[in-house]
Formats: sequence, C-alpha cells, structure tokens
Amino acid sequence: MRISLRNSLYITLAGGIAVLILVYDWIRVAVNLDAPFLTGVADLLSIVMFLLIYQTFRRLLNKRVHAPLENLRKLVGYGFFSAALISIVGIVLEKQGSNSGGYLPKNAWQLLAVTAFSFGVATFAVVLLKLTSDLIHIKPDKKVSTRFNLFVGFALAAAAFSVFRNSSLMDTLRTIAFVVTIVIAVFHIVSMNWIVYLSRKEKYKSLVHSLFLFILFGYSFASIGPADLAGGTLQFYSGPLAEFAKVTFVFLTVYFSLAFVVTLFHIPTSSVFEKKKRELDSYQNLSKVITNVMDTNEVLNNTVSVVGTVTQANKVWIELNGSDGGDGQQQPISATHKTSQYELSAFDFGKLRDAVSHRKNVVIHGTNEFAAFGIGEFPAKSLLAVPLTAHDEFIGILYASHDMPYAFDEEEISTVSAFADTAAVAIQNSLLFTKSIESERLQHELRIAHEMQLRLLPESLPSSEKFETDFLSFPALEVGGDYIDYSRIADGSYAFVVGDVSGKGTSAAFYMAYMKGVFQSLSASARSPLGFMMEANDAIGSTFQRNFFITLIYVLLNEKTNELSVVRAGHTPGVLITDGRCRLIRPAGTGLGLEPSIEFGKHIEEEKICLKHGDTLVLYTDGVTDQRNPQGEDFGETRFYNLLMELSGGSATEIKGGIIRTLAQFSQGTDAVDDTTVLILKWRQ
Amino acid sequence: MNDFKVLTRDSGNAVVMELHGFLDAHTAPDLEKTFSDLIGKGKYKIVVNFNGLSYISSAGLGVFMAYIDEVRNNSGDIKLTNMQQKVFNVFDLLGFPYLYEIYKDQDEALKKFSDK
Repeated sequence: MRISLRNSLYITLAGGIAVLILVYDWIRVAVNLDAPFLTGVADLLSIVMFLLIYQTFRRLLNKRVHAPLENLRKLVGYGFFSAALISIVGIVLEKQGSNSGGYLPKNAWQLLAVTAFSFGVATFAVVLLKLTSDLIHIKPDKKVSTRFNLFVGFALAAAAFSVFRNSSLMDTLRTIAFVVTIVIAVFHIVSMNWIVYLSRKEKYKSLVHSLFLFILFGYSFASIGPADLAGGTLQFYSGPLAEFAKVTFVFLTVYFSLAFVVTLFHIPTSSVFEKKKRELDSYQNLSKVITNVMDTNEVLNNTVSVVGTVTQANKVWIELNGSDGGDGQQQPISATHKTSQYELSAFDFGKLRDAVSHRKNVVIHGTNEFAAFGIGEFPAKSLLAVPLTAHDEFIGILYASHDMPYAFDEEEISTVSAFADTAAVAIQNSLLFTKSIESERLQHELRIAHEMQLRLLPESLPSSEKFETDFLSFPALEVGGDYIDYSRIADGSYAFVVGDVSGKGTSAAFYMAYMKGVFQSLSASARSPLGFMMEANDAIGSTFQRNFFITLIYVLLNEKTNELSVVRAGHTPGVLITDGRCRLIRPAGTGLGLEPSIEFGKHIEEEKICLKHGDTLVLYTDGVTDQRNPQGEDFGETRFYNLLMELSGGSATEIKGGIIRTLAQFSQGTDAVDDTTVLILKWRQ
Repeated sequence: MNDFKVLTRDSGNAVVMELHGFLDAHTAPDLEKTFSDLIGKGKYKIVVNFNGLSYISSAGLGVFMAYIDEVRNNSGDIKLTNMQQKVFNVFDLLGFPYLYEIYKDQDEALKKFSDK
C-alpha cells in the first residue's frame, strides 16, 4: 500500500483536527464547560475530519475486487471487529459505572478512550461502506454509482444538520435527510446484480455471509442508539459522527437483510443460469476450436462432443451428405458421441432425413412418432434432428437423442440449432480446404502424367539423305490418347505409326502407353505391315474393353526401293501431296479391337506407293480437322488438304510450322476438342 | 454447350432411336443409358436414326460397340440410318460398314427387321 503525498496530508490534517477536538473535549470535561457554539464548531470540524478519513480510505482501498465472495468475507471480518469494538466499549465503560445516556468522560484516560473508540467506529464505517460500494459496483453502472453517491451525500447532510441540536428546523431537516438516506438505501436493493452471477455453491456461501452481516450490523446499529453507552460516547465525541454511524449501520443492516432474501430467491434459478452460462462458454469454445481447425474429422468430433455435453443428450451424431448428395442413399455417419456407427447402422433414418432436408428441425417424442419415422426400435424416447446448412447449402444433419420423452424443449432446440449453424460453416470450410488440397495433389499428379507421356513420344523422328521428317503432338487435356512413334526394322526400312485411342484423358493415356508396348514389340519382328496389324488387333482385342478401340495408320518406308507400304486400321487417311495435287491413302481396314482377327483380316488391305522427288506424306489424327473456331466451324478436311498443298514446297519442319500457325490462327484461342498429332514425311530424292 | 438428345419410339417389332446434337465423351453416357434401358426391356431390334446428329467422336462410336455383341446374341441388331455425310465419313473411316448395316433411310432398316 503506497501512501501518496496527498494521503499523508489528509491523515496529518485529520490527526490535527482530532488533537484539536481532544483538547477542546478535555477543557470541556475539566471545567464542565457548556458552550453550544464551540461544541457546534467542534462537531463541524469532526465532519471535516471524517471526510478526510473517507477520502483517504477510498483511495487506499481503491483496488476493485471482482469476486463478490471475497468482498463478503472482508465485510464479515470488519463487521465483526466493529461490532466487537462497540460491545467492548459498552462493557468497559459500564464497569466504570458510567450513567447511561449522555455519556460524559470523567478523566483524561476516559477521554482518550472515547476519542480512540469514536475514531475506530468512524474508520470502520468508512471501510464497510467502501466494501459494500465495491460489491454494488461489481458490474459498473452509472445509475448505481449516482445512487450510491447520493446516499453518502444525504447521510452526510443528515450528520451536518445534527450539529445544531437545539434548532427544531434543523432537527426536521435532519430527520428528512435521514429518511431520504434510508429510502435511497432501500433503492439499493435493485443493485444486487452481483448475486445473479454467483454459482449455486457461491450463492449458499453468500446466504450465510449475508445472514452474519445482517446480525452484526443489526447488533451494531442497536448498540449505538442515543440511550446506549456506545451511542452516548459517540454523541459526546461528535453528534454528526454518531448520526453518520447510525445511518451507515441502518443502511448496511437493511442492505444485507435484503441481500439474504434476494440470494434465497435466486437459488432456484441458479441452475438455469449456470446452464446458460455453460452453453455460452461451450459455444465460444466450439467457435474458437472449429474455426481454427481445418481437419473435417476434428471439427465433426468436437461438435458432437460439445453438443453432447451441453444438452446432456444420450447420443449425438452427424451425418454428412455424400459428395453427390441428395440421392436418397444411406449416408455415411461422420461422427458420433456416446454411440457408434455400428449401432446406428441398424436403423434407417431415411424418412427423418427427408423431413430434415427441407431445412427444418424435426423433434420426435414417444413410441408412435418413432414408429412413424420407421425407427420404432431406436433406443430413445426423444430425438432431435437439425439440418446443417452452410452458405445456403444443406450439407448434413446433426442428431441428438435422449432417454426421456420431451427432453428437447424450445430452448434446447434453439441451442442445438445455434451449434449446428456454427458447426456447418466450419465443416463446409474444412471440406473446401480438403478439396483444394486434393485438387492440388491431383493437378500435381496430372503434371507428372503429362511429363511421363511426353517421354513416351519420340524426341524426334529419323531422317536420312533421302527423306526428312517432323511431327507435332498436343494433347487436348494434360494427357491424351494420340500416339506417334517409329521403329527401325531389321532389313533397314523404317516403320512410322500414328494412332488415336478412343476417348481422351487418363484412360486414353493408359491405352496409348499400352499401344506403344505393342508397336515396339511387334513392329521389329513383323513379317509385313499386314502381319503387324493382325497381331496388333489380337493384342488389343483381348485387352481392351469392348467400347475402347484404337485407330492406327502404319507406314513402312523402304529407302532402297523408294517404296511405301500403308496399312490403315480405321484411322484418318494418309495425305500424299504429289505434283502439287493431293491424294488420299486410304486402304480398307477397321479399327483395332473392333472385330476378332478373322473378320479383321478379311477387311484389311495394304496400299503400296512409289515415291517421287518432292512427295510429301502427312499422317494425322482427327484433332486437326475437328479443331473449331469461335464461330463453331470445324477446320475440316478441305481446309487442311488445301493448306498441305500450299505448304508442300517447304521442308518438313516448315510444313509443321505452317500447320501450327494456321491452326492457331483459325482457332483464335478456342480449346482443342481432341488431341492433335501430325507426322510429316518429305521425300527428297 | 453442345446438347445431345435421344428419343426412342416403338415401330412394329423394332425400336427407333433418334439422335440429336453432339455425341462425344461427355454425352456418350446418355446414349449408353438409353441402350442399356432398351436391352433391359428385352428390346434387341434397334434402328438408330442419325438425322439430327451433327458430330460424333470416338467415344461416341465406342457406345455402339459396347452393345452390339449382346444385341446380336439375342438375335437382334443395331442398324444405322440417315447419316449426314460428315458423320458417315467417320463411321466409314473406322470401317463400320463392315460391322454394321448402314442405310440411307430409316424405313429400309425397319423393313429389314419386319422381313425377318
């Protein structure tokens, strides 16, 4: 406790006044002086002294306490000491044979005792008032504050008026001020909101404390009446002080008697209040936990356990809609509290689910209602189902069941709904978070697949003095089903192949990889282009699903004979630009995997071409001709063949560049519908 | 963006399936469902009218392959009619004329079924 300069000044002043009064009183006793004016002055001085003490203690005790019970304990302590002081004075002075009423000290020692006693009572009154004031101000409220200051003001006024004892007007005023003070004290009954916030256990303690305080203050008040020795002593020392002490003790007695009654009335409601408080705490707790958690399971488990604790429901569980949602199928149970997926799986909540999916709470009680929802056997007497709705989307259901019928009243339902709303948003967020992680992972996987597939394509195609080649191949998605490859045959000739797996994307990419294996293993050993196709058809027909097939065009180039053999299995025709004219190489043949090899063999043919200087052969997939522009037009065969004729003067690489430029110009940014592959073979000799 | 529609109606002992729009990997499942529904009902004599179809991709072609064996095993068939030139070219390239009966006109196909 630090004592400031101002406080030291106040205490010194108060001490000075006390000494002054003591001297005056001594004179009064010694010479039996009766000077009402001087006594009045001394009384006024005592009021000043009292105010100084009040100011000092108000500052010193300014540490506001937030626990009402601690204040009550202190009050009981000080109250006990003040009551003890008052009784001791009574006993001591009586033993000395003082006459009751209008006490007069007989010697200096008694005078000192009277002064010390009066000082003590004044101090106690101040401390007790301050403690009570803190109790009243526990929940700061301006009105309460004003009322308390008014009370102190009127109490002081009553004290001041009592200075002029002989004036009947002053006496009336004093009475009025006294009554007003008591009225204000009564108004303080409503300033008992500190009681409301006590827990049930604390309320019992408060009850005992209030009772004690009532007795102590009641006793103190009764002991300082004008007829009592203690009261007479105070009266002798200072009339206003006696008045103030009286008012204070009346106020304290009334306040704590009422505190006792109010506490008593609040005990029955405390359990409801505590429950609300617990709900609020859990709610805040849940909000805090689930908004920081991104793991869906953790959010779900937190939610069910909090709802289970707050509502004291026997079982709580959450059903989340499946990813496709609303298909009426059995939904997965995502989190449980005091029950298990296994137990719940025995019941079909379909009807209940339908009812809740209209976004309203459903409460069922009693056997009949349970039976009506098709869960007659469910071991509960009441069940509450609340929709989980986030951003206007119905994402699942929160269930709570209880052994007692009518366990879910309006209040309970609104509590559970509030939890459900908060939880739904958190669940939704965590799901989105998981989804974005998952999609990032998938994109990463697709990037890898894309790179893997690039490695399946040749880096470049062979060229020689007699011919040059180039190619382009772009998948429409990350991975595609177009295939381009070459192989060097034992006799020195080259096999080139362009293919297209039906469909596109990942499944097509797998078949494309398979096709590469087939081509690389068969082409080297194949007796002829036809032989290769027959074997490839076998390999593919036995592996692929019926609705998957591959179209393929296979070209065998014999450098020595300038001869080209083409077999085609359902693929787009080869385009031969010769003498500036366009000729389609389109031998008969069905797609690989469409027919069993006996049939396939009947239909497939081989076409032989003798190459001349400057001839250009182009193999392509339909991604080229199916490329669209923003107007929805296809690039089409005609445009493509015309383009090839136009470009045929250039080298293979120049032709490739021309095709890419023209397609880009045509599409104007329209996404390709299909994978696009072109192989260009230019005959130099 | 590109709609696809299938309409089916009975015609004598056969069923006529009219295709409209754009048949690709996205819309192929609709056609698959129509086929499996018909086969589920024991209807194996199917005439597919391509008059309203403006585009077919390889995934769309696959659908016809997926059901042809089952249909033929039950002494039925899938006959294709009224193809626009562009669509016919796709079938033709792939060698479908070896696998399916393709007619210019729907009535020809129906007549084939009723003759049997």
